[in-house]
Amino acid sequence: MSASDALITVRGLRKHFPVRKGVVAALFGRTRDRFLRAVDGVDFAIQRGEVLGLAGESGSGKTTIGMILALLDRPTGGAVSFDGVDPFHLKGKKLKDFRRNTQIIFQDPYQTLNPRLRVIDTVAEPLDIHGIGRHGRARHEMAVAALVLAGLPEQLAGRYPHELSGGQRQRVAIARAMVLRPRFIVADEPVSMLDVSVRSGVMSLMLKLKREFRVTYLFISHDLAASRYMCDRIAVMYLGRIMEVADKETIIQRPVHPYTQVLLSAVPVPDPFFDRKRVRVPGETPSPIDLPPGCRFAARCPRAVAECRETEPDLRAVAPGHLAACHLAAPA
Amino acid sequence: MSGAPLLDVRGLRMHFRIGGGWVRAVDDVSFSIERAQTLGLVGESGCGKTSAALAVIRLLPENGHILGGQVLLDGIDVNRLLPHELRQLRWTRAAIIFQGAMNALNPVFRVGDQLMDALMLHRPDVTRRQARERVVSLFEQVGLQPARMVNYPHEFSGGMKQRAMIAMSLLLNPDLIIADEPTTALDVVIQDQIVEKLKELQLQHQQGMIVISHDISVVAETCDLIAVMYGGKIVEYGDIKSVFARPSHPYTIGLLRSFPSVRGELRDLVTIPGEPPDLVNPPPGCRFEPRCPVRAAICGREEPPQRMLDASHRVACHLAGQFGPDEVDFQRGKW
Repeated sequence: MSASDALITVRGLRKHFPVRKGVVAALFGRTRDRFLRAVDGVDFAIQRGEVLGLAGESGSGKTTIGMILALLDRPTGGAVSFDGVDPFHLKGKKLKDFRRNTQIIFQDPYQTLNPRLRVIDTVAEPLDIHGIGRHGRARHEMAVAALVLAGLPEQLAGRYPHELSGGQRQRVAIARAMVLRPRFIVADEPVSMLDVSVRSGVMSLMLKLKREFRVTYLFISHDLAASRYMCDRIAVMYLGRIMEVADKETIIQRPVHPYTQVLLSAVPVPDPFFDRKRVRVPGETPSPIDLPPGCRFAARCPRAVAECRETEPDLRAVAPGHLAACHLAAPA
Repeated sequence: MSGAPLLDVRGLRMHFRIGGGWVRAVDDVSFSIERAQTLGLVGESGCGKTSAALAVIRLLPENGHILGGQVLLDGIDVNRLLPHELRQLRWTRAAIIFQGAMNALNPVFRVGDQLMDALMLHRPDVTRRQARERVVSLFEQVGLQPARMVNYPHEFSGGMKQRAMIAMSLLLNPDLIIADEPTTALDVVIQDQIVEKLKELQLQHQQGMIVISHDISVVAETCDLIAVMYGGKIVEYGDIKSVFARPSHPYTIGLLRSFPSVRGELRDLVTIPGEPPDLVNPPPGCRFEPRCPVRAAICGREEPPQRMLDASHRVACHLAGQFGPDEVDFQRGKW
């Protein structure tokens, strides 16, 4: 894949949330502003028609990146290029038009569908907003086509969300995202609330859309097994930084970053004959406020040396297409 | 009680009354667990796995009725107990770790006090000092610093709250632990540590355990026995290795092949088309028949009997043995 075929390029992306000061601190003049550094210097590119996975634990910043790339939040710093355009410099009608390119699918289909709208109206709503389709009839037909595309029977069009199963609701969310024929979809834990037996169906639907419409995805998931099936490449995040990124089978089978190794070794295996070896780490992920200098994982890393506590490692190549942010990973 | 299992459930039926009908949530369910043994109850939402486990200790909503069957817990016939005897049985004989346990702690009391109060409520002879010592020891066992006893629940992380709930379940040395999706809301690394700790303590205390989970990989790693539930019934049951090596019900085969893994070769995942059955008016024959890719005429007419495949492994399928796992053709994902 050549760099020129990137649909999305992200450079030095940062998102810092101010931490609200308590009344007492404000009264006594403790004025130093503190920030929660949810995303703290992230670089990556997503190629056209690629599924890039963002993996990591709660608080690693993966959802924040998803919200920014879905244009639902603004970065604190860094540059985002969407097919050469920086959407955060657009305003008004231009920005609204641009939004048609990107859609988002959320985790919980029980909370993201309007309970008072029929399925068909939920799916047709984006068409109304963007003024697509000459009249109501045309919009209705486009919405029905999107439902069928998402693998739902046409008869479901008049139902309300409470009449649908979780898998069907998530397919409605996919139909609504697809009705505008976006080029890019952020899928934030799209299958983690679903029953195991319907997860694979929803994932294979998303991949079908990738094949047939060349949809590009950012697939956010804490579930590395699901990411292995969905993604082309996987980026592993920890406390707002990418620790390692590579082709999915490289991440799954030959991870070099100690954090990736810890994360992978903790994933249970659906095979009672398999004897899993754990890589143990002490403690839990610390707060992304007031981070110490050096590597963010150093305090828990089983292999940390002095340098790790002093200098933050850059994300650099350890093999072609395989990057890791670790002082101990041998450079390419 | 030599020879008898710790928990013996036979032909248990528990239905919910709604409107004019009955939801047949637990319909003729049988299983047994020895001390230090773990049973995994798996199946999709609404298959009756949580209801089956809660019916064992009759912890039911008002509209839940036990309509038949027998539950023997260490020789005690649970369905014959009077209300006060039942209250005594819960926690002292059988404890539950609920799904989303992070919300099960009272936010306005210190975590340590909540555990001490629970202990003193059930054991009036225990002094405050003894209760404190017991809770300190339990905190240590589950991997929490006893100094954290004075903290409130909001000062605990999700993993710490789950550890506190495990400590709570061990308070009265129960014989049976029922863990309902014990780690679902936790991060991978924490989930792994909690499951490992739960398992270690269970073996140390020689307890029986029921793990209810939709996560087949957690069940594969922690359980000795597995019961696959579908539509209120156990469709396949047995030693975990036997069931994984020779899954014999089409539903089990589909379920095992729909689950992704980070180990081994990347393989196709299957999707089981269709929706689970309506348990008010279940299909007349096998409840899986409408979704089953290998069904025959008899499956739509007659309920399949339980067949023994080996000493522990049984399956409820008319056609079991007439097809191999690879001959069950579900929709395959194109990856």
